[in-house]
Amino acid sequence: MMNKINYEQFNECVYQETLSNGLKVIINPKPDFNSTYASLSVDFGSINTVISKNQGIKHLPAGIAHFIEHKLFDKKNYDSSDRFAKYGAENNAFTSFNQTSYLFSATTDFDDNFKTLLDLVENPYFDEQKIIKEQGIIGQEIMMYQDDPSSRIYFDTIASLYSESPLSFDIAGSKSSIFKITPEELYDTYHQYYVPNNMTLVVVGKVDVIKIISEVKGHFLNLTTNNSIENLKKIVNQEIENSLVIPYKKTTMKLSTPKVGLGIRGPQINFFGRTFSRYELSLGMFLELIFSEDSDIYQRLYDNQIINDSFGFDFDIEDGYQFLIFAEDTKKTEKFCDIILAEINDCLVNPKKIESQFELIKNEEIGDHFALMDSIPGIANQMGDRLNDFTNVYDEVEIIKNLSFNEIIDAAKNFFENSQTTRNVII
Amino acid sequence: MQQEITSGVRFNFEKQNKFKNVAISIDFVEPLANDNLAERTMVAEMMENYSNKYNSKLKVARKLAELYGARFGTNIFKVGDVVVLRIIITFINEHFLETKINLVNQICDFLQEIIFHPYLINGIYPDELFNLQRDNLVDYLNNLSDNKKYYAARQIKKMYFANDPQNAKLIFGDVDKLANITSKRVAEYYHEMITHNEVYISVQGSLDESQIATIQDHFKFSQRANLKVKLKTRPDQRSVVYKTELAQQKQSQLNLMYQFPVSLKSIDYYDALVMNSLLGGSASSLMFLNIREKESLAYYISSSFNTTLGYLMIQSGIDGNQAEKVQDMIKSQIKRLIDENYSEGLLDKIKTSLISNYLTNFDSERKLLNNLFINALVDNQTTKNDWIEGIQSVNKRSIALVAKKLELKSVFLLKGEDDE
Repeated sequence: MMNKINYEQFNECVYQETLSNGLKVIINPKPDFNSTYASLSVDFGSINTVISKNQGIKHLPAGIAHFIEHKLFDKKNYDSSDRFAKYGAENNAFTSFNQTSYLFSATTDFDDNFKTLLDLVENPYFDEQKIIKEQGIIGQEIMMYQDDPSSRIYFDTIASLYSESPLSFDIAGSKSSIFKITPEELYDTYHQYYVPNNMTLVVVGKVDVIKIISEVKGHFLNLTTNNSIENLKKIVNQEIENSLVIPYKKTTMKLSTPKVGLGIRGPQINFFGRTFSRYELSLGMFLELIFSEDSDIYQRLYDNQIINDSFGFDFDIEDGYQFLIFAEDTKKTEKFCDIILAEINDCLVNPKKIESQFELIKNEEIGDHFALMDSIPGIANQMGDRLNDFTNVYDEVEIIKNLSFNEIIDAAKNFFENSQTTRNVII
Repeated sequence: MQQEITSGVRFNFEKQNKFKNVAISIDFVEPLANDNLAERTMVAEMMENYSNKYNSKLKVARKLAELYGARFGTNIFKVGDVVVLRIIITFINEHFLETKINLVNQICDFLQEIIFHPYLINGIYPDELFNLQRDNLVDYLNNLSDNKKYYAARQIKKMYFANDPQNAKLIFGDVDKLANITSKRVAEYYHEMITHNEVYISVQGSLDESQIATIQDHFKFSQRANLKVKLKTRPDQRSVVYKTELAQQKQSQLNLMYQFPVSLKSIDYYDALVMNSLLGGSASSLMFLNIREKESLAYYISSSFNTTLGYLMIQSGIDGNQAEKVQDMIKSQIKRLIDENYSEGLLDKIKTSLISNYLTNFDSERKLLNNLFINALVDNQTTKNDWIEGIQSVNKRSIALVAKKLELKSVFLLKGEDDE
């Protein structure tokens, strides 16, 4: 049954439907815009390196999710990118730790582009020869990221936080791991994870809602709902949970100024839906209260040259792991880490010192969400996921308005009180 | 709505009802030849962070948060032979706020303060703040070269513009000049800029006449001279220059620069756009398909056409030992364009995709705002239909003719020492 949610304040509506095969469909029509953006995401990423096989568990080479992403475009007699191009669409795909997404943006021929997207994801063709060629291309891609210090500081810091676990592998794998991939493994893995109840379709822009639903109902008929995925994800989460933190690591890349990554690993969480969204927004606001330009703590650190314009932070909260990374280009790497940790701790012990800025940060968060509402890809990428029960950008504004300062401090305590840290330096 | 408020000061407004935000930019324009890049960089930096009333970064940031997280910044860039210092702000259309406030007016008060009341004490920016801001920027610029793709692009521009070094400069000016610039000089320059630069005020959003009047009332600039030359063609007779450098990295970067005398106003402008897209400007391009996909010789390879400086640049990430082969293949892709040796289907695909990207720009308020400015700056009257028809009228013959204008001038290889 299609569910229509009206957001009168924003003059928007969002349609949601879970099809009988489990596929979740979310549509936000924007009739005044020229383009339409559609993405089909699979809850399967680089960390999912196990499948069930012959009543047991089989481990896969690192990088297989990303490899499948590349190979799905390469059909027996055609390339899906060519089809998108023929219909004037821009297409893209990306693989993260726990998701693979396929998307296009088009201003014409929506129907043909949409069929191309569905065909791209539901009709794999993996053969030996094409795999060998792809190994060369991905090998180059891996080396490119290896040469990029900004990418290295981020991923190496995560790797130290979760050493030897699937989170420590490069998303694309390594040159040696991808050379082990066989067509049979690709098919087995594809059939394990590319099932409708593990996928979400999001469409935003100029669209005909009824047409999309009726089109998508004729697809994914050959892919059967699979219930062993949850167990496989538990195995991975266990490996992540059991992994050890490497407290310090130093690499040489002959940089003009060293880069430092301070990684903080929070405890695994066990809540979902709106509670999850509230937690995620709360933690984000706690960090903004300390480390955004509105904060006097930030300004003091900036004036004392502890942080500079290269400073940045990023956090990721998922089922099975949550981490926070601070990064900066600085010669004083140890001092940077010490002070960042001390400031956070100080605010946890004495939250009063940041409370006065709370309403201001709320205003700012609301403004940021409005900015997102004018961007079709922005809205689509913020349509949420299973974990937060598909909380979208419009829902988030309501949540932000209702958050209390105490809730934010509680979220921060949840994250930091049982956390572990790593320091990663590239010189 | 387009109007010249006074000599050298223009106001442009385009009403858009589909956006939930409003965007305003104020652009200061002067000739690149004036050679004030470092000064402009510092004016932009100081303006973004301080004013007389908001005399700390914290005060600016808090004011912006109070204005419902208005997104404000300054930006510097080049268009042809002029340089632009942009002040831009986007903010919620007050219509969507539950509390009734006149946000347009408050935003304009803020911008007015930032533009007309810089943080000057005894006529100069406070040294301590100024020096910190400057030194941080210098560090940032020095660190940029760690990104090898960026570094390789910088090097080939230096080679290409050897006889026209203004154009090879970073938009921030020479790092050495920047490192030594004083707050006194920058404060002097601020007054020059405010008094003599051409000014463009551009506005996008769902606003009524009284809101427009509010904006205009806030920005009363004195009259100033209009600039004469904004785009010029530049002849160049040099022969090809090759250069190789070594770097500690796994991959190598190979860049090529072609002289390509076509501009926004040239009769073969649309032919050039399609030609670039066909050569390396898209994922369906000949270089991408034949060099990256078929031969696996490059991880990335692309071409970009600079419509105001008359060059085409090819950038690629390759295995350094294959550099010669990649160069030969690039040349043979250009030859295919001249020989009209590719399918009509590919040409159609490229045209459809260019038109689609063009239409997608109309979904971005910032892109529309920028178009409003650029069109006013170079006096471009092209309509949406002109543009689409221009692309549709391109054919194999006209592409071959424009491709013949490509003349290789510089080749730069940044070779990885660790390349296997």
